[in-house]
Amino acid sequence: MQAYNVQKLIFHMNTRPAVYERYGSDRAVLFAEYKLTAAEQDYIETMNVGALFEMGVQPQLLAPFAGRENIAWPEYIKGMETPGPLLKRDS
Amino acid sequence: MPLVFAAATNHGPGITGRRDTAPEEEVAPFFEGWKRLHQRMEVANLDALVVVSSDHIQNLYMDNMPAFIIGLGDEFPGPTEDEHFLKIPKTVVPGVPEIAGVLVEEVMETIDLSYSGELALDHGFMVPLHFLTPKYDVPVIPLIINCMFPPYPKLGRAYELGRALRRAIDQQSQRIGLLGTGGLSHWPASPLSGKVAEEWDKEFLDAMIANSREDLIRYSDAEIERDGGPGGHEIRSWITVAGACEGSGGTLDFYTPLPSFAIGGAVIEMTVA
Repeated sequence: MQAYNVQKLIFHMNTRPAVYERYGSDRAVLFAEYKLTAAEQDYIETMNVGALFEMGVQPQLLAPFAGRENIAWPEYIKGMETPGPLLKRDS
Repeated sequence: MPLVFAAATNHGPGITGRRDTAPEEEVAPFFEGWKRLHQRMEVANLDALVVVSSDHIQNLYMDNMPAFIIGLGDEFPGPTEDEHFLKIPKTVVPGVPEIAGVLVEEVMETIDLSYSGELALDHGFMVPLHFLTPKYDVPVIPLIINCMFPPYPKLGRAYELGRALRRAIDQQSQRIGLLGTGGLSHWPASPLSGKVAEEWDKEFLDAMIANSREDLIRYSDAEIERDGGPGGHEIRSWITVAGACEGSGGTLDFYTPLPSFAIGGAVIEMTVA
């Protein structure tokens, strides 16, 4: 089961409003609870959907999550074709 | 009253979510086909509709993944996806647990089904329903087949699920329809989004028209992945409909590639004999 933890977190953020809210307010603790690697954390925070896809994340998780993060469809597809950050990391 | 209606068609978030950016000449035949399907479903005057689809990781994850799961709820909220993503308003679709529960009892004579009282409907259900039962006035029994995370149920089991459903439906007094959604070839939300394998689609549709079990279930998962894309695994919904109509063929209403919606689009109605 590839990328089990990171997929589980995205699944929960997509389907459980309280988890998504914590992504905004309590991110570091949330990441730790789901045992995300540093790379996984970075890819989520910067919406590097292409890198997440390459590590095995189901794109059916990524598309609605990207929509929620206000990534337009053409931009999302571009990110899938050419991995790289679509968002700047929050500082 | 036995099964009175059976058909299979597509779903996809782009059908509603990206409708406004799709070329009209590309997508018009699809929407015209769905209009005809809607009209035929109205004529069928259904008391309930069993809808077979994949779940797009909106209800189910690998921590507890059933091969098949049916919804026994009184009602089903949907769509699960954000309104600005899918462009379908949030609503509640009525269920019909008194029928669903009886169907499960009979289906489980030959197929083990998981069940849930709390399924929510994602685009696999809501996009077709938005067009085919737009008032959401036909109670729905959702039936999910795992097409997202391998190992998937074997194609032959999807066919057997259809046979079991038919046996169960035919014992009911209500007018019940069966709609499979998903496929055909597509590489959804991936770098190959928009690719459509027309030849693969047409070959599969020929097998549906003939309702040839042998041809329908001949694909390995690796072949589906390679030739029909990850979304091609959703042919299981179609195969279930074929299984429910074993011994009868189907009529293709239309087939058209829809790169803007990232699917090979089609409607096939099976003869219910």
